[in-house]
Amino acid sequence: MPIVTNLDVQLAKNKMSLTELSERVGITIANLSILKSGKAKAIRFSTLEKICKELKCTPGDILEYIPQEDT
Amino acid sequence: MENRKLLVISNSIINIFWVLQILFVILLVVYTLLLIFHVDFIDANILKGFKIHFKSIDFVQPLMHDGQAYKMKLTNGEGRLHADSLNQNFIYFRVLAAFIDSVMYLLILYFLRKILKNLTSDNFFIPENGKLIKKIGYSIIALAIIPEVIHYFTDKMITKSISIENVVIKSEFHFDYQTILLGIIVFVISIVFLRGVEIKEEQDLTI
Repeated sequence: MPIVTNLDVQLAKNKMSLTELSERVGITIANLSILKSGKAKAIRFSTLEKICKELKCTPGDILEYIPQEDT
Repeated sequence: MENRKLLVISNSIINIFWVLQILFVILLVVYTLLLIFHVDFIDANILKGFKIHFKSIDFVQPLMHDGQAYKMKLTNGEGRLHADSLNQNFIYFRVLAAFIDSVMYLLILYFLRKILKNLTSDNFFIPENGKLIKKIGYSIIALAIIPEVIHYFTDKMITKSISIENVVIKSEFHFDYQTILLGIIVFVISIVFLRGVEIKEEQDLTI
């Protein structure tokens, strides 16, 4: 997937652990891990909103588009 | 809750069918062995005659009733044909057709039991169920075609090898379109189901 999540970078900036974020946002660690590892196929706006609120960032800070050459 | 009950009921019905079908297959094997080894302790005539579909059987002698002669004939029926000098090999084809038939049923019941097992353990939209439904569809279509083809060819051979006066044996291909339709319906449902599995996976990976 050419879309990657920089969740770990933002977590480091805020000095927050994944467990802490999951408690604050109300999403299970399992689901956050899926998001972090890039296995996720979609993300709800509500989820994005909660994460952005807790990490004090914009969606662009979490999601990044990396162009991939067609093989 | 309602569905849960229905699931339990269908599960027990399928289990009963499963046991009966296994018994039937065992009986069929025993029957075949009796035929092969010409065991005489049961009435061999019952085993030896084989089922035919006839178009018409004319009675040679007119039946007398109240001094009047009635010329009669039987049309469009089925029965067991017994003849001493007849080549008995045809019956093995018939047994083969019956065997394929019952094994197909057994296979369908096996797939169905697997699906029901998944459903009772709360695994509804998993790819395995979709594949099993598809396999059931294939089996139903095979069930409609394979035994009919064997029946057709044995009928053809029988009609070729024996020509009894006044008896016309049918050798028509019986196209069982109802069962084929049923198979196609199951097949279409499996396609819908597999799409459902895809949607479910996407839903699971949406955070």
